[in-house]
Amino acid sequence: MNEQAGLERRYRRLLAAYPAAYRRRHEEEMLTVLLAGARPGQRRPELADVADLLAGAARMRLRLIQPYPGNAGADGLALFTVLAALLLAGPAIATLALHLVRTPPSGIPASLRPGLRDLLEARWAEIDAMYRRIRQTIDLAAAGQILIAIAVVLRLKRVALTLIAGILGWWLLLGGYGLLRVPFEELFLLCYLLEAAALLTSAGPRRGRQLLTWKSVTVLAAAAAVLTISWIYWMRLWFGDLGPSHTQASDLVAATMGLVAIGAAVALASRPARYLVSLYATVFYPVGCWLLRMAENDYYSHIPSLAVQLLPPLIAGSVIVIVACRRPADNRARRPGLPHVN
Amino acid sequence: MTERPMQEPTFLILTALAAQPQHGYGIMTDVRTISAGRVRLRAGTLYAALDRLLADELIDVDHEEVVDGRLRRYYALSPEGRGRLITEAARLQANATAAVTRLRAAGALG
Repeated sequence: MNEQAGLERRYRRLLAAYPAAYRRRHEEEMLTVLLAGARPGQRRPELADVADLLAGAARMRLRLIQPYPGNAGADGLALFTVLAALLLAGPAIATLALHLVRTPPSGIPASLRPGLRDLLEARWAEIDAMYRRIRQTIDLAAAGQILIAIAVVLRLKRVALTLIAGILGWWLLLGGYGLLRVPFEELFLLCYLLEAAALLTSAGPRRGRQLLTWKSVTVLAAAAAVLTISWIYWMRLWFGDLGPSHTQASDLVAATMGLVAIGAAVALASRPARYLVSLYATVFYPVGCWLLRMAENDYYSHIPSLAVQLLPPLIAGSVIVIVACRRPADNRARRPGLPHVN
Repeated sequence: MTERPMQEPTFLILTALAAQPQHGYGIMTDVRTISAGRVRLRAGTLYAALDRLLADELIDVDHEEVVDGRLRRYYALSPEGRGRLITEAARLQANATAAVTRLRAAGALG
């Protein structure tokens, strides 16, 4: 019958939205069910069926990137959900606290070395205006990071995801692309994106906490404390009461980040730790770019393009997440109840 | 370890398979009958649920047949699925009994 052939063709087109492996398992029997449920003379799929099939296809595609037991990459992502939140909570609290108790300097800090001082002086008005404009965004990002850390500690995966979505939404609507001009923002933005990806594609903080031992917690708590101290040291640059030069402060932050990464790798010493350190490096890449340019004294004259700062970590992060969530060959073979239909 | 309460569609699918193996369309119509027309599973939802139940080993593929050139795959409850259904039915029954007892005590039921 022509009508049924047309209906079948339309259903097949909808079923094409499902992943290939799923189609191999279920396409023919789903088609049987759909055609059996069709009214006599029906030529087109019902709207409710269309919505149901498309939603089902989306669910199946999301299911493909869900963690599998024993997948070191998924465990690395689960660890990342805990560690990224906890490591950044200290700097976030320090940022908010300093912003609350201190006002930004009205001029260039006197202790900067002459070359950098001249460079800053030439563009101080622009830098000062930019700083004040983005301060609100930074405060929001820092407050969000603290709330996410609390949600992660309480193992509230959905709450953490909702917070990330809310903050990113606010950022995109009110902050916009043009505001992403300082590394702290990029750091928080990348961290949010990777945290969201890790929360969506891993077993989340519950699993991450299972993987931590007391020894690793001690090392990582020390790393978080050192990172926070170096961050405070760095933040004081903005308020003109600093002892170190810009370069010294930059070096300190860079060295601390390296030490934290090494600390994480040593404390965990496992395959998931390698994924964790890769994710960590991805998040901190823009800060590394920025620090490098500061060391060359040309940051303010050549602000690196967003593409250079954001694309490599975004691509690297995506690759890590995809590789980490790939189904292991042994699990693929023994995924239960999946006979093939030829 | 206490298990999470089962979602209603899952409970109804397992119930549909309690007496005998059934194919997809049979499960779909049976679920509608069991729920007195209240729950209507569509193909996308049904097969997402069946796929998950297979992965959780609560159901198995029983056999396949071809009728009028169309594939029919029959699903059956696994021993684990039967156990989960018994537990869930007992839980629901206990809740319902408690509700009825209290409503009766309050004079809300005859």
